[in-house]
Amino acid sequence: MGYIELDVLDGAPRRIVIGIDLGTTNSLAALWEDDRPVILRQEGSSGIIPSVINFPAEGAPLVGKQARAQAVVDPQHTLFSVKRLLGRGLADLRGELKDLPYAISENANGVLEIEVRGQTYTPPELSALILRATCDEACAAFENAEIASAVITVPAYFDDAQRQATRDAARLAGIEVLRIVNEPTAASLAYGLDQKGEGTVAIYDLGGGTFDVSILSIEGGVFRVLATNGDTQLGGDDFDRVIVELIREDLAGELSAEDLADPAFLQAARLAAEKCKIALSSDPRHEVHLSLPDIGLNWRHRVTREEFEKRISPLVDRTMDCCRRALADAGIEPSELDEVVLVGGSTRVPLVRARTEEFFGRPPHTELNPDEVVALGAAAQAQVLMGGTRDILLMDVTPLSLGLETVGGAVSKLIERNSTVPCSVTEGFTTYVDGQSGIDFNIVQGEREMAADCRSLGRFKLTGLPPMPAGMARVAVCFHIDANGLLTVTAKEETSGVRTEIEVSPSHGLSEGDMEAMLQAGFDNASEDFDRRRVADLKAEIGTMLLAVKKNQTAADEKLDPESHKELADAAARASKACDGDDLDEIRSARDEFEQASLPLAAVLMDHVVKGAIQGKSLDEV
Amino acid sequence: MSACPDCGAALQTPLVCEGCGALQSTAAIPSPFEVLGLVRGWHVDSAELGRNLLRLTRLTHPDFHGIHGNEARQLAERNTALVNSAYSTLNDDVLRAEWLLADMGAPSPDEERQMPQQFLMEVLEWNEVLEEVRAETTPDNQSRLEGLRTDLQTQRTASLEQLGGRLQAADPGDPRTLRQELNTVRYLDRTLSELNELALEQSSTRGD
Repeated sequence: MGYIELDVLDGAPRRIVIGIDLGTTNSLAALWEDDRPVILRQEGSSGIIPSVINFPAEGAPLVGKQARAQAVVDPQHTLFSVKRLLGRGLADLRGELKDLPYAISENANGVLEIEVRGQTYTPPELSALILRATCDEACAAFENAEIASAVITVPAYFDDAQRQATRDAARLAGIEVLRIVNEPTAASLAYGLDQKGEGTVAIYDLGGGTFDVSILSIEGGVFRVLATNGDTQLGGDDFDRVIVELIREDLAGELSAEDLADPAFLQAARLAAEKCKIALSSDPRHEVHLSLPDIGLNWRHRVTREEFEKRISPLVDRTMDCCRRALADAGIEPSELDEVVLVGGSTRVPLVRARTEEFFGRPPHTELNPDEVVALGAAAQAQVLMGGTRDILLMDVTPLSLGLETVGGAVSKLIERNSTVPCSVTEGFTTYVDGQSGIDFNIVQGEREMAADCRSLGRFKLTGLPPMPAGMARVAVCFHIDANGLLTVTAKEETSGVRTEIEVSPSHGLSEGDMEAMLQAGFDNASEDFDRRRVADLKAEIGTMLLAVKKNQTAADEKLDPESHKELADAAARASKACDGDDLDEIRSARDEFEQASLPLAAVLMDHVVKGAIQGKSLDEV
Repeated sequence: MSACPDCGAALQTPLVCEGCGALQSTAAIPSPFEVLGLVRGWHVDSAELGRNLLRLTRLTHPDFHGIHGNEARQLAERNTALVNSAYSTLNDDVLRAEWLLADMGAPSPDEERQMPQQFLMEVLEWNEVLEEVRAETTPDNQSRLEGLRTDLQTQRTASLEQLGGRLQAADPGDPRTLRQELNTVRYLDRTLSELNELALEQSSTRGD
């Protein structure tokens, strides 16, 4: 009833630029507002989206708290810690596979595929679902907002394939990535802004699945990373796994091998282990309780903090080795540090606090919320990138050396680890055979001397060289690591000036074709989603119209001619009936008819309003 | 010195105009000294180098050019990479020496692999100590490792000073001799980093 509804013309939705901490365990978004970053949360919510996905038998996948709630009842269709799978291959997962309660394989491109309910999903597709849910939560914190673009954080020690996979995830989620920022760097930004801290700082970031340590110099708004080190397969999940292992050992006599590998058992053990770990941060002991009636299990076991600490000690040692290397690369002694900042939920573990204090020789700074600091820093960086301030400058580094495999399998280094980004190196190549039209090379990342021990980023193929005698071609290949830490390769044949084509086949990455197909599928789903929303909107509209007609029934009965009166009654009945179904076209045409049929009534009422206004009556009295 | 096509100010560096902030595109790759606005030579004031790096990065960094479109962002990526590369060359004694040697047409490490004769005897001695220390971790060997590290550091400083003196002089002398002296420093660096690796390994295996 467009004539009598006095709609306030709303402006376009507010387009916001946010920072997203896409975590192994939890994800969170923040926004820069009133000169500081704030976490985006709805009233009464923490804003934290558990990075968990559940695929119900019917309908759209659940993400976040709802999904986590399904973990025990529906373990086989509930996915955790997908971040650990980004940009990885089966060989990288080694010992972790046996603890994963779902089927996982590798496709021809070396990309992992997780099978759920007969459908396969790649890690970027799964991460896209989490990103989307995080953005929806962020938008819900506002009345009317949409995400224009985002800064997304990754572990500093993520290699190129893992960064590419993160960017693919954002693309699949329909988010424009403004920048990929390293988590400890983002944390340092939040720390520096909040505490006005200056000097040389170590950020020790132990999250759910990854560990990073970065040494930074903070001075006059310049946040300069001197060195970084880490382990992208080490985090709180591994602490949980230690307790799962303890549970397994204790139950080995009681349960069969099949039961011990059962998804329901694994998921329940994993959740119990996580609970136990958290409890042991405040209590000296905790009783683990596992109840699985299906396999007749009702088990209680007391775990002491001492026992837990003994078991995680080798893992904490590994983080200390990383710290030692980062300090050595930065050329800094622990005593020269002005502050040590702990980031990530796993730094709540008392042993981690004690060991960092012992190693760095000072109590660590723990005032910032370790769960929020990364998202807050990302929002601050988003503000810089949007041109909001030039007072802050981040100078980050590439965590791993970049090299080429040479004849014999050795690595020739092009870019050293801890080089400030962006950085580039140009190398000359030539041909070995007369008329050779292409050159292949294998790009690797890592610190080992042999290419086989490093991580291959992919085989790059230069093609389209003009025919020339052997050794005559001069191909200049430029390797550029950009401010996101992402590699791009360009090549030019210098004698002929031909710009050679480079074909890239990443070792563990989605090809352009894969991406296109997934995006298309995404659009198809999006159009379904759109239809569903449209149906809901139309039903709501019809509901309002029916109410309006009912409210003005007396006026209709008194003032409408019989023909119009009947038309209106029929149209209202049809519209009301259409609302029982879900057919978009039917509902839409019923709404249109109803609107048409209500015009005479609207005219009558309008007339009334005008008269009412002249007579000094308010609208409510009409 | 050329002028900025946008505002006409004199360019202190070929990469960006410090007057109006316009990024400049250059056909040729400028020398690291040109990039950072320093006088070509061995002696570099590290405080000035650091200040210039930050001043230029504040102008060129892609963080500040992304909103001006793809072309500006790419030029910012390129120019900042040049600033970073120039800084790492000039901030590192060996890389700076390498650049100066290459610029005066001295032989590359592949073309001239020799080290000065008197140095070779010492190398043999050091290698002996290193082998023994590597073989067994004992408190005695630990202190020998530390002693070796100090000796190598002292030798490195001396060799570098000698080479630097020549490079700064009006006539640096025979390029082949310079290359041999630089080879000494590079050899010492490799050995020192091996020693550091060894020390890190020994301290990290202590706990296991």
